[in-house]
Amino acid sequence: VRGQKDFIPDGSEEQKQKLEQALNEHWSLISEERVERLGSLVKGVWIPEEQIIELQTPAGKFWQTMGFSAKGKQYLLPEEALFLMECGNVQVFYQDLPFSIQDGYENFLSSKSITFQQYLVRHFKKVVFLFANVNIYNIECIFTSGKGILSGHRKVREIWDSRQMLVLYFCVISCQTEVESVEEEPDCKQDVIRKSEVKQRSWWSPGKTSGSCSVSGSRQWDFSSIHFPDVGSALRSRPDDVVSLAAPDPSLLPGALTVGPCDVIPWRQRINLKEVYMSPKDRQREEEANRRWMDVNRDPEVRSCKSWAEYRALLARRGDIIYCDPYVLSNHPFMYLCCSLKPLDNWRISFSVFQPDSVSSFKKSNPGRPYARMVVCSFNDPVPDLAVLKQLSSQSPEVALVFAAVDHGDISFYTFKDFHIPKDVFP
Amino acid sequence: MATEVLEKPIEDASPGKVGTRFDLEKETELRFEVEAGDGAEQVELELLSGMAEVFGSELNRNKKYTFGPGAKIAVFTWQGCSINLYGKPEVAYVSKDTPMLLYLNTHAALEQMRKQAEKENERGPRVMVVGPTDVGKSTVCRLLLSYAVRVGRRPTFVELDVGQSGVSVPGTVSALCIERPADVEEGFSVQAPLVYHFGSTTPGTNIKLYNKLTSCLAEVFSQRCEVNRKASVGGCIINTCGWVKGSGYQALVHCASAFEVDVVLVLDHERLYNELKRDLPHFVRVVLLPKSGGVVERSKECRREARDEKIREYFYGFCGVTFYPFSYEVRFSDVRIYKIGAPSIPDSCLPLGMSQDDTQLKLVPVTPGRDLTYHVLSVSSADDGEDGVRKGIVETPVCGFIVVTNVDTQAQVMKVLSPAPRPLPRHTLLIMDIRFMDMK
Repeated sequence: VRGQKDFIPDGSEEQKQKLEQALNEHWSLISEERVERLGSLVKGVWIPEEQIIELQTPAGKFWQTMGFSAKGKQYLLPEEALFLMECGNVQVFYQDLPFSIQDGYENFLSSKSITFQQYLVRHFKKVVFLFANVNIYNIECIFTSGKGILSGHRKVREIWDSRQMLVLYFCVISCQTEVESVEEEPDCKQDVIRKSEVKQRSWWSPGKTSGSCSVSGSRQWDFSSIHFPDVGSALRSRPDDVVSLAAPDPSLLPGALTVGPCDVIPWRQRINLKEVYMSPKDRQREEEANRRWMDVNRDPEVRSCKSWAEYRALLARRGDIIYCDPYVLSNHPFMYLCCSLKPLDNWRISFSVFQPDSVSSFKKSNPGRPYARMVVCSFNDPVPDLAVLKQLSSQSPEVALVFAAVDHGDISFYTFKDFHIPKDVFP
Repeated sequence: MATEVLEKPIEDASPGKVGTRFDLEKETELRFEVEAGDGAEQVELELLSGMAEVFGSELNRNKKYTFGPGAKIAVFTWQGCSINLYGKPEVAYVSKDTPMLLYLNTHAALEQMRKQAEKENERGPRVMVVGPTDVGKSTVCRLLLSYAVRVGRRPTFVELDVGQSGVSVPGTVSALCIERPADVEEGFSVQAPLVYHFGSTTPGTNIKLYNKLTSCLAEVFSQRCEVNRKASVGGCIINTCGWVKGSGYQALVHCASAFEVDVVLVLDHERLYNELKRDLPHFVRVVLLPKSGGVVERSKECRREARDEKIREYFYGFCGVTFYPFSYEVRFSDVRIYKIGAPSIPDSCLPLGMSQDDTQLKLVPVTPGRDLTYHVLSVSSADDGEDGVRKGIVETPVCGFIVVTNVDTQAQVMKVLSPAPRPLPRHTLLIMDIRFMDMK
């Protein structure tokens, strides 16, 4: 439907009827009885003092994207529990009595966990259709909620397949857990940052390199006895590098040649040292790389690897993020810093959003670079001013910032696209 | 430091051609270039006495080697020799200043590794040669491969330079088992190479596909090493593109990882050397080598001509005399033509959440039309099965190439130039950005 949205009451009979019909449908949907098998429900106990839910039975599939474990037990955050209750995955008990959904809403949503608005947005974990016009500024969304979800999920897939619509399915996880884990152990912040820097070498991701070779073994060449004529070592003239080579063994050479010793030093002046031309983009990348300049071999773990197989295993252990982002973790302490300097009362980043195609490889402990970071606000709130925008976007470098404006059941998403201000040709 | 050494015109040469005699001292080389262009005269080379080699392949005494337009040759001697040049080379001079001794020492080190591998039943050295354009990467590869073959090894040549492939037509990546030194005039004998379709002359057009094919080649090579002891000990020498910045650099690092290289030879680029030292694990030996003063910068034109020549060579043989290609008509309905990688569209036109990468490995059907004319098509060796097979086409090697010479949209047929008579061995064709006009 084009044109203005039909939302201002005009007192007409037609509008009234439409509204009534929509409400009736809504109620009939919600009032439908939901039957869940008791056996398939995961049991949890609400601990109000700590504001968490402790799981009594092993967690289900949702564990891949939610929850955390501590002291050998599995826990859920209140908003996660509420969400799972609504999905029919979890049953929460308090003083041996089961919680109703209403109890859940009353107890689990508070200023300590997340607000109702944020929870609504978080609901997008379930199913979301987004009809993205080419103009991204104006996204209309339809949002299925309540009972329709289980069957709705399948429907989404069908629509996706049959009509190739622009359907997206978001997987939202709260970035709170990430932040908390950093907060708890302030001492290891440095460590976290260092680790994330190591991970920046995205092209090592083991998934891509399939050339594993059983013949490779774990051998390590002893290059102290194999002498290459390395002009580079002559440039540095480190003591352990051989600068001048003795005459090679004739048995190694073709045609039983005999040649004299080889002096590498004279060649060092002739190597190309001239500046390489770089485009502004290359230069920027270069500066970036230099800023977090890090020799992989300074890492003692890398140094202990003796072969490609071991090195790859190490990288795999550290997380197989394909698009890694050095800011993922290092960003959060910074974010706190930023907030403590000048707290923004109403505006904060509530969620990191990950795309559904990453679900299979998604790790809670190491979520990787989010697709977007989301700020939740009400439709009635004032439009964020430039200072707010600036501050928020500085907290989310390289990752798009999406504003979710909640208008009761409807949520609209807004984001800024990159654009360039026209430049004068003459300086 | 070019020094003119004893040049004497010779009268009794073949009629019409003036001979010039060069006497070379030990460890010097004669560099000459043959004029480019169609009307240019060929230059003949003859070894009169002593021993000499061209890029690692030894010359036979009193045999005349012919070099066509645009050839840039260096004749090196370890012991000293006398050479005759017939015809009028554009330049010809003797240089004492060559890094050949460094290259020979590099070979000696690699050979030492092969010996060790043979003794300990391990795999031989895997070497990646990197550097910017025009530093002599392919020449160093050829040299090291020829030396290795001459001491009885069976190394594998992996060609990842999609712009100037030494094995197959441009726009492909390939691997070739080397069993004899390169022919002085023609280069390596191309027998049963493994070729994958890339489709363009620069890896930048589809870096994802490029990395994918690199991984494919690495996997196949590793499989070969497992069953063939000799190939495993021989190791491989990987030639790369001259793109050493940004994604090009990342492609190099990816290649090193995929092939599990042991040695990286960086030619004349200190920055790249330092970067690789930083980004490759310590057990990889990174070596910086100088380029030879004889390396000539090739213009864009020159590169294009070299590419054209390579395609012509595929159909007509070396110097256009050995092969006789066929020309016949193919019905559109008999073939399926695909392009790898959907055309890139601006990000702003993409739906929220879609990234460009997803499209890079996609197979896009091409509707045959007039614009197909002169395009080079790879004939994929994928079975002509149903859609189930389609997925693997990107990772399937090609069995040959054809060029579309004419398209008749009315009759729904296209005329193709093919190295073999009809019918086509397979019916899945992959289109390249590269075009070839069969004019000579």
